[in-house]
Amino acid sequence: MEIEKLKEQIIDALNLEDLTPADIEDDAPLFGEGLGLDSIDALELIVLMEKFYGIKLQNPAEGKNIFKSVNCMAAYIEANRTK
Amino acid sequence: MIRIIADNILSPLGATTAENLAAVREGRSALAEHRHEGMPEAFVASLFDTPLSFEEGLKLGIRAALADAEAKGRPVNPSAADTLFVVSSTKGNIADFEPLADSARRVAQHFGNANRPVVVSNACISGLSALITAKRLLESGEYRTAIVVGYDVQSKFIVSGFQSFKALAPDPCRPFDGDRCGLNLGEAVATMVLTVSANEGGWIMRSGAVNNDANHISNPSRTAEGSLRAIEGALTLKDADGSQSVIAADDLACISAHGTATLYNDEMEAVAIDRAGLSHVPVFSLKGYYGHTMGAAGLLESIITLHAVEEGWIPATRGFEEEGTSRPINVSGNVREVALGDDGKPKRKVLKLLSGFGGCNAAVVFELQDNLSRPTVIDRTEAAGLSADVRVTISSPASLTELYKELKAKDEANGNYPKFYKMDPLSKLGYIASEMLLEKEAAMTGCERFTAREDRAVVICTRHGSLADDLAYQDTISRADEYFPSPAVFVYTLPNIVTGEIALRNHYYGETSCFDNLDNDNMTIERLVRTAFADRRITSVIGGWLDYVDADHFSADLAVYHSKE
Repeated sequence: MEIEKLKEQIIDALNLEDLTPADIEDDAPLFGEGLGLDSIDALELIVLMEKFYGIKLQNPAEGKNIFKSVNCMAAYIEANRTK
Repeated sequence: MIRIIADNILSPLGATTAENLAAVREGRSALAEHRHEGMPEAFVASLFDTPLSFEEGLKLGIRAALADAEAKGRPVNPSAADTLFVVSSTKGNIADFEPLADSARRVAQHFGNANRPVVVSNACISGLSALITAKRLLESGEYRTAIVVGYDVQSKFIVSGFQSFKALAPDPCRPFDGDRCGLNLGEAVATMVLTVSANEGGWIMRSGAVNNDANHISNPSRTAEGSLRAIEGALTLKDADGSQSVIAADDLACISAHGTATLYNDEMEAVAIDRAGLSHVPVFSLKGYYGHTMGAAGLLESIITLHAVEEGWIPATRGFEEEGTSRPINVSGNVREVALGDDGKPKRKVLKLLSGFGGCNAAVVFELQDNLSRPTVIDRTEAAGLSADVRVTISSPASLTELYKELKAKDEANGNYPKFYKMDPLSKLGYIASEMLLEKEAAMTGCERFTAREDRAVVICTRHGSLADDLAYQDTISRADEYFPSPAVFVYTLPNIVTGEIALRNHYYGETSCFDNLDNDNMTIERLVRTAFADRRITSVIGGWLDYVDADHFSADLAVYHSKE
């Protein structure tokens, strides 16, 4: 799982225009203060996982643990990807 | 007085108000599993057996309401010069990607009406917004009768969007229940005919208010800021001599809530009802019978509420078993009797609530009056003139991103607003125009920006609304092998989101309204801006025209309006 590529996908999907992959720390929280993401962004991350990795997340509440940090998300994708 | 003289509900439960009322009384629902072509997942909704197009639906509803008026001995001439059509819809004719105003005009013309219809597109509160706007326009003396009609077709466009929001329940919804897990969508055409009339008995529209949460474009406020203010606004009455009185909680027969059965909406409404001191008043939701009928909801749910209360009963909340909100409110899964008031007669005032995306909330109070022989004074708000003290216009060609960067460079402290990049083009245009306008205002008047205020409204007219974003969203659902409906794109397909973005950026808790208008015609726009001043809390309006077709065709014309009164 290439972390840089995932960061680029996140920046693109969430329109984080002013950010570069270097601005997103691997272990820093994605939600809360950090990047200023909200509930719609969380739903977009679910779409991202389906679109690029074939992961269907039915219960959005599960996102809370998966989207803790980029590292967390990458680990989840690695374990569950179908494409 | 603004009196309701006729109505109609056309829904999967019946073609007349009487049939619908009987169905609700008996606890029937048309919620069932459906599947749209090209969609991977099934959904539970209340849909017409035979697809009914937006314009045909509006015509059928209006025709039935006119027949009802005739049957009640109050015939209405739809082609009269003082009859106004008011249409309520979120995405009514999305199948054709056409401005709502075009459909509305064709429907009005079908009935021989030459007036430019008012089209309200204020997300899920549209039905109540339409009633409130109709009431204000009637009170200004310009029209004598308003035919208010609401409808939304539950197309693949809408259903996939709600699915992407993970907002749909897999079963019939359970409003206010501890196990609620989302909403169902529904189709219905609902029509109310309002007229200016002295007291002759029957239901009147007593008051109404709209307030924004200034919190988030899709999440309701956890403290119910907008809904609470809308309730307070609707419960406060102005008497003819200018004095104020407040409708007491004990005077309310019931509250007809929005009650969509999403976790956050129902919790927010419980907080609003509790904070307003209404936690003991019987509350119910009709979503378990009809689903969420969007543009029709405010009208349909008001009609059922008024007829039920007139018959002495309060509808059951279908799907409700156990209390599931943090604040206790008085919900029941059973039909209840209307309680008696201090005069020994059944209570005769009801409160209707709705909330929607874009942070908007609406509340309306209806009152059942006795047939009095003593004539009452007809309320009339003389339309005061408007002054547009500060004005900004933008038109294509221009780069919205470059304009944003210029604003950002000018004001390092406040100009950085990364959310700009998440907005659809209409909201970007509205953001830039309102920023330029408010900077200009601050420079001219020395007023401070970003202080929370509830005395300022946002009233926007548009023709193409969110068309550019509609096409972008359609692109995410049009191919079976690339079917990834985007919630972030879908949310902006509600054109009123731009009003929410402006309220959110500037902490405005006042009214926010969005109208679909044929063009940038100053007379209509000022007439609609003026209606916002009917809410006595409002002292200024950010209002005007925003329209975006594509990068080469857009225009903005916004002003800060004050009333000359």
